[in-house]
Amino acid sequence: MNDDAKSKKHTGADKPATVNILFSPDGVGVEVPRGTSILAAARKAGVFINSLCGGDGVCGKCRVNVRLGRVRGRTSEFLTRDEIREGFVLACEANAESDLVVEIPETSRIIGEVREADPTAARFSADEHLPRSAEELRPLFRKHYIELTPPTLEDNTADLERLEFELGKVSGDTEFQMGLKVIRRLPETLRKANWKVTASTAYRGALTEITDVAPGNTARKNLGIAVDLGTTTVVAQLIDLVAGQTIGAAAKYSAQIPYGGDVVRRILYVAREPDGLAQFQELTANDVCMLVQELQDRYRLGIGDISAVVAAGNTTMMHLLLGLDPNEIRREPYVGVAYGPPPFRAAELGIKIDPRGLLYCMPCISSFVGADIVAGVLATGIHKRDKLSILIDIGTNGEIVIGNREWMMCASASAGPAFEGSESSCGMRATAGALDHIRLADCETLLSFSTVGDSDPTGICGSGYVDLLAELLRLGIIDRTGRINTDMDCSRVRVRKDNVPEFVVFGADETGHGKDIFLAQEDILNLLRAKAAIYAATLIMIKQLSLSFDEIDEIMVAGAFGNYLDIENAVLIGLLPDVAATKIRFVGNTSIAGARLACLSRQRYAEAHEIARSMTYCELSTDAKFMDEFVSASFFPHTDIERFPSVMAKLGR
Amino acid sequence: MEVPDTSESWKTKINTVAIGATQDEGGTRAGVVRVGGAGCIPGAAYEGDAGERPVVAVEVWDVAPDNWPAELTRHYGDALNDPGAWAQKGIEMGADLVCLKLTGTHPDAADRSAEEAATTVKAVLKAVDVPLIVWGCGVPEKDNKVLPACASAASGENCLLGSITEKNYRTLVAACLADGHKLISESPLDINIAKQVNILAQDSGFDLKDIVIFPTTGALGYGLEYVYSIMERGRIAGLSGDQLLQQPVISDVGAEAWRAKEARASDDDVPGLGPAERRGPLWEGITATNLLQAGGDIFIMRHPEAMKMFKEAVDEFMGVGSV
Repeated sequence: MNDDAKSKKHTGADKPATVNILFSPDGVGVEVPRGTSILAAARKAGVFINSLCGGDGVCGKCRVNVRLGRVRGRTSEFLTRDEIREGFVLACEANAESDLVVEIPETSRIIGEVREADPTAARFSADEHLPRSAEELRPLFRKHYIELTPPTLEDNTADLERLEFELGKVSGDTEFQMGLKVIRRLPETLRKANWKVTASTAYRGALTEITDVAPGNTARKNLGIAVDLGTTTVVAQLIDLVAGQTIGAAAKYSAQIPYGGDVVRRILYVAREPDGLAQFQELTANDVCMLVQELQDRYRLGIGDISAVVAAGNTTMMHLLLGLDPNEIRREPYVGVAYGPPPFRAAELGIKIDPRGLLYCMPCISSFVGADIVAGVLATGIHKRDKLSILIDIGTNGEIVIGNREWMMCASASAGPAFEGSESSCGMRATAGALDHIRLADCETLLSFSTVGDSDPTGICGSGYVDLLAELLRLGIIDRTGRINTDMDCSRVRVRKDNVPEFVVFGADETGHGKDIFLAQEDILNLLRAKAAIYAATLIMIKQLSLSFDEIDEIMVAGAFGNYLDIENAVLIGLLPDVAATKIRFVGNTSIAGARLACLSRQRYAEAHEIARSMTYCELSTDAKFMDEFVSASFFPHTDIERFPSVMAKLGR
Repeated sequence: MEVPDTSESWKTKINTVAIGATQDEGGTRAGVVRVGGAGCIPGAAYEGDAGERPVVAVEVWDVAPDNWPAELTRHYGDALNDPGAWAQKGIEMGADLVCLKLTGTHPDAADRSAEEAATTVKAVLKAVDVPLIVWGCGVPEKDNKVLPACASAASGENCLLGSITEKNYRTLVAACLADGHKLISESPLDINIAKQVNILAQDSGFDLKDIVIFPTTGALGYGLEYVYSIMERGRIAGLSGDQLLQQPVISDVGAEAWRAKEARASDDDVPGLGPAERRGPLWEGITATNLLQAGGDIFIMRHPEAMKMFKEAVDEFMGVGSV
């Protein structure tokens, strides 16, 4: 330490004029004048902190955790006593007094660009299911440039009818509706624009709404957002509605997580707290807004460029998005407020896109099978096939659909978010730095591994967990109950102070964030329970239908895994049934794929409602056999090893 | 009219497990106790081989129990302070073998050491010449110290040691493999977990044919019907070809029956329920007789009258339906 630094330390009066602030987990540092607010510093550093009020200290959204250093600022009613003790402050209210290390909590940040699930999945959605014909590519929200013939004494049709007539010719739509305000503005708009205008239209079933009429030709810029409103993560895709292409995607952890990891806990919170529902509606809408904002910034778009949002999610999340009371969902006879709500003005719900833009909700099936599953069926096309398929969507709830063009049955099993990389010691979503593939040579040596974006590893995502479990099992480092064998001579196995064993995948010196990446005993048991719930639910449905897995033509696995999912390993750990590998396909996030399809095609949006109507719901919680099957599946790969002949051979039995 | 033959035919038999080793076999026992071997459900000998006769193991502790009711202790007297003498008394009462429970090794009880436990095992082996079951205190860390020491002390005697659970099996499996003992696999009234514990033992190199299942026991009025259905399901699965449930079953009847207030309460406390000397043994005997029909093979018992009653039931039962 030099003299200069020493003197700084000794004399309080002689404080440094500037301070350094390091933001974690981004690992970005910035030098700012002392007294600068953390929010301002973050903006300077290019680090995103969620702030709705823009720094007035009134929204309470910009909470961050000061890990190191001193800040000054007033206390806030937005923070609980516990949070204050843990070092939480509002970034806009806290001014840096010294060098700081500031951690931005998951719920206040965007977690990076989401990659298309895997080459197969990309091809899958592009080839098979994107609208190909012009007939199919009729987005929910369209823009038409029209040049009207000005009225004359001979042709004295009124402005609205003149517009509708021309619009009908170019769009093929026949029945229009229009808001009074837009009609009132119409004469001026038409005349000022010299009768050359762009009319925006929105699908409303039999009617088409002319949402806006703007001067000149703006028809080329028509963008939509598809949103997968997950319990744990929210993903948004920006879609070019003219070209029928996905431009980019963004994801974040749900801001509702602090209120409960599962929907039931959130419903209870809403029921208990005054204003709970309004609060949750806002949280949900804000999540969407944050992602829209991120995509807008990334692709340099204006707010008016985005015309529609199509959202898919489970029934509770859809209720919360719309501010509908979800309380009856969890109470007998388990009835939601609305399963197939009409489109609403997005602005009404606090979603900031074009003020005249609409929010479309994919339809739900029942209180426990939501729009995400309908979207999944739509995206995978199960409802159009002659042969039987299964769709297994692994999210916070595991949802399973079995069926074909004639019938479909679905069930929901609460699996927990373990495979989404949540609630595990080193779990993360499949974003840059997530370990998504690994092979072990023996208990000491890594044979190969890969991370998303080839970055230094910072955590483990779902497909990484599947690989890890399979490898540890194969090498006998964990037994078939998932317990880590501490008797083994293995330097990667360590025992924590509280006597809990962990398997260290990467030491702190090998990772992107300077912390160990490991698999703790409780993580394994969480994963075990998650896979057991999914397998048990699938098996019960198969049994109820008097089918066997051999009669299924294809099993499609959807969910927030990484770039790919090692199917063989997923079978080895008993997550998926032991059928020929060629029969199983990983299809990525089908919830958002379905929402995207609907966004691009009215026909598909209508089809989604057809799917929701034709699905039969199978209630597992009332099935006495579920618990039995669950316990039986709570073992690697399964208690009845005969169900896993290929695994039996691999594990040397 | 001819009565149609509705008898079932079973695919497989329950494993026969031999406990104890004679001098020829490297041990010091006078004889060997064989359990299991049934090729039919209990009491249906017309459908298959009834197998070995169910046996009684007298429950002996390494320390004198401080909470046994007088109705029990009066039959053992001072022998309760001497496991060897206690075991002898049990054999005189008609037990086929001895189940030594190392209750005193429990850290919350006397916390006896592994060496002390091993000494007790040796003492009991010396005092009686019947085969021995040794059961730990159920605290994994302690059992993992005590049971290997006992296994080694009884090396060659082909004892039945227990119990392994889903969460703790490696040490005991290794000890039994090293010293040539049989193993009790314990599960909490759950068929699936019973199978899982067996798979774990098998994965660790233990032969499924050397395992006896303890599916947990409940007394009359205290979950007996639940235990019954679990045992029955397991037995039917085993007879239908499930190798993981083809093991003989051990029932801890005495301990469960004598926890029931109907069995242990004094006459003053429960007037109207009949005299304790009749009530207690009946409670234990009826529990055992019920579980006999569910498919039990080894019954750990306490009261001489209950043992007698049970053995009479077995006599009668083994004859039922035989052709």
